[in-house]
Amino acid sequence: MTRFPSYRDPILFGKMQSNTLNFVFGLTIGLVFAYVGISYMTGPPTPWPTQMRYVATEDQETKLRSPLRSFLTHEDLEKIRAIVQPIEFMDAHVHNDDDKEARRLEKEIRVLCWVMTSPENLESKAKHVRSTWARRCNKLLFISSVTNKTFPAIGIDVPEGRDHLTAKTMKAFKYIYEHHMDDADWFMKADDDTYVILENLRYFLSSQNTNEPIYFGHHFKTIVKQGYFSGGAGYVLSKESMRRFGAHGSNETVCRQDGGAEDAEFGKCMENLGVKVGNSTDKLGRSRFHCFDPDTHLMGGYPDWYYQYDAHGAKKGRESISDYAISFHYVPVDKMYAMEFYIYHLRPYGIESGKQELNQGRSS
Amino acid sequence: MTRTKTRFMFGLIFAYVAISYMTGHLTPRPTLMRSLKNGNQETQLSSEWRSFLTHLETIRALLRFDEFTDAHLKNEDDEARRLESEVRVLCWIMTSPKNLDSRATAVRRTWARRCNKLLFISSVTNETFPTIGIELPEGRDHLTGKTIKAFKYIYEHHIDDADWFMKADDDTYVILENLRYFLSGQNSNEPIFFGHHFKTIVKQGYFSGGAGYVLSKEALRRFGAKGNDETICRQDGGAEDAEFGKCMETLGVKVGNSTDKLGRNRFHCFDPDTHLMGGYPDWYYQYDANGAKKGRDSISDYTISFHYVTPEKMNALEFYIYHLRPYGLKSGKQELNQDWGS
Repeated sequence: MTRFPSYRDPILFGKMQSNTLNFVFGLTIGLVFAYVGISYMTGPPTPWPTQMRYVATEDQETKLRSPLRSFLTHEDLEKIRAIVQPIEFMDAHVHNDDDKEARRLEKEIRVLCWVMTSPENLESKAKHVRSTWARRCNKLLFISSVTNKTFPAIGIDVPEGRDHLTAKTMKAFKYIYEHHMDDADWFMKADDDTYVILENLRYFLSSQNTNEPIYFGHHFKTIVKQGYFSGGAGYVLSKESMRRFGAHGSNETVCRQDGGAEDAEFGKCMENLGVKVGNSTDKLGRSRFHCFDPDTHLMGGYPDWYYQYDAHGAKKGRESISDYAISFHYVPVDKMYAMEFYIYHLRPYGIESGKQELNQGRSS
Repeated sequence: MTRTKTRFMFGLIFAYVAISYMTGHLTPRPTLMRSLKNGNQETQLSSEWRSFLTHLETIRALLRFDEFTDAHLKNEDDEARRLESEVRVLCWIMTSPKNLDSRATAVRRTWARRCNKLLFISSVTNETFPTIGIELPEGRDHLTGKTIKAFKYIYEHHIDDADWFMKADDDTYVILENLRYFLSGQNSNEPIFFGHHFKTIVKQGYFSGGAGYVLSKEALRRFGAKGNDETICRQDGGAEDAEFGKCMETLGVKVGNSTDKLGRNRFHCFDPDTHLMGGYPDWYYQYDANGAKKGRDSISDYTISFHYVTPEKMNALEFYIYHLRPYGLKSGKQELNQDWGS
């Protein structure tokens, strides 16, 4: 007869009891561990600003624990690129738009846009840049590490990667100085996730003098004495700035040739060449170049570092963005088509967008 | 000793696995998904990038946004103002007590202030907001009842306040100027209503509830006269938009065609990005009466409505539609209305 443990059998019962006890004990500890562990991984529900710890410039983003961010980063854009197909807008013939003024400015203020891209981004990002905003540039160049005749993209002999963005920028401007100085009056650098409204860029530049040593963009007040401009938001150089860069830009003592954060290094370079940071805010004090996507600026979901960097008080909301905004950054490709739609197509019937006088006097 | 240790570890692991399942961390599907209900179906969109964007929007929804000051210099809106006095629109927003602070507030601060008359209909009366309380419990099972009672209330109290009567959700975004432009080519004494046309369930089709639909005065009169008859209009239960569609059909109210001259939709049951990119759920291809087009072909320049618009997206749409513009491009008046009414 098998012996079942019973209270009359002290040894076996004792053993079973201690086994159960151990199991229960383990269960309890396990529950506690699991609860703590999972709570830690999902992040405590503290208000989001305290959880954002972005370090240094955009070039050295370091993401920390929490997924509770409300702005987009390059990694996010990688995830979003999957199912985008180009959208053709083919209804210009019914628009009845009066674009005389825009066309006049297009002839008078020639802008050369160079878009920093890479071989693997040609089809996934640069192509959409080309079919949306960039076709409004007077001259458009895609600068990559490898020449691609069909796209076309110009190959600068620089390895890909964040460590060489400075070299890419230096060499790109050098190339433009050597080959395209006469093609334009202003020279703009943008990324392949920047969205630029060319009409508004020309409107702003119409109040500026391209023979001054000056350049414009989204102003950061740190690192460089006069501040510098965010690379992703795009920055635009006057002809005089290009001349000075062409003359002395290859001198290592004046401009660092590689390494560091591209926009900060270029900013130091400009300062050394005597090129001034220009003010591009409009008459109501609102920004025109933007280093984040529109929703982030509207909502104010900024990372902590932005409050130390932005030279105009890190404002947010609709009042902080000019009606004639020029650029946004971290724009995923599907959003580029959406912006084309919002800016050039979707409109409220019966409201004529008047010509607003938003430029300030001469800026410096 | 080892045996007790084993049992201890076993307990530990068991507990961890149990907690993980309970909190959903081991499940393979993204934990945030969009749930769409239409007709009697509930279909979940589980595409990864869409759930990622939903996550982003959820976070953003926690942030508050500023009032618009509409500081425009030199806008010419004579035409829009003329239409505002000629084509009076009453908007009623279906909301609930828990959505007042977030969604209903966003609606009120953004597009709904352009309505000639604005009513928020909830299950509970709130004097301060203000909302009108329809005595029905909250929840999907009573949306039909809410709609029927809301229109009844409007028929009894507000039929003279407007020429057209629009229903919208608290996550619908409506461009009133474009609604008036479209309605300026229609006759409010016809028994007709307009919205995003679904061709299923009802013989003549019906309109998506979330995209918003707008009734003519005659349609509202007919509803007011006979809408409380259970044999004509189901009083509660079922899918609100489909049941209301059957009700309209029984009353002899026709579904109107609101596509523009280039065949593009003006009412939309999804948000703008979905229509532009065509990330539609499967059921949409069986439901949409206009070919489930995507991209440029699906959205009129004088679009009227979008659905599933979060409060922060409403803020963004206000910015894009009424503020951000290219200098030197005066948007001309397009002739996009068709010549025939239905």
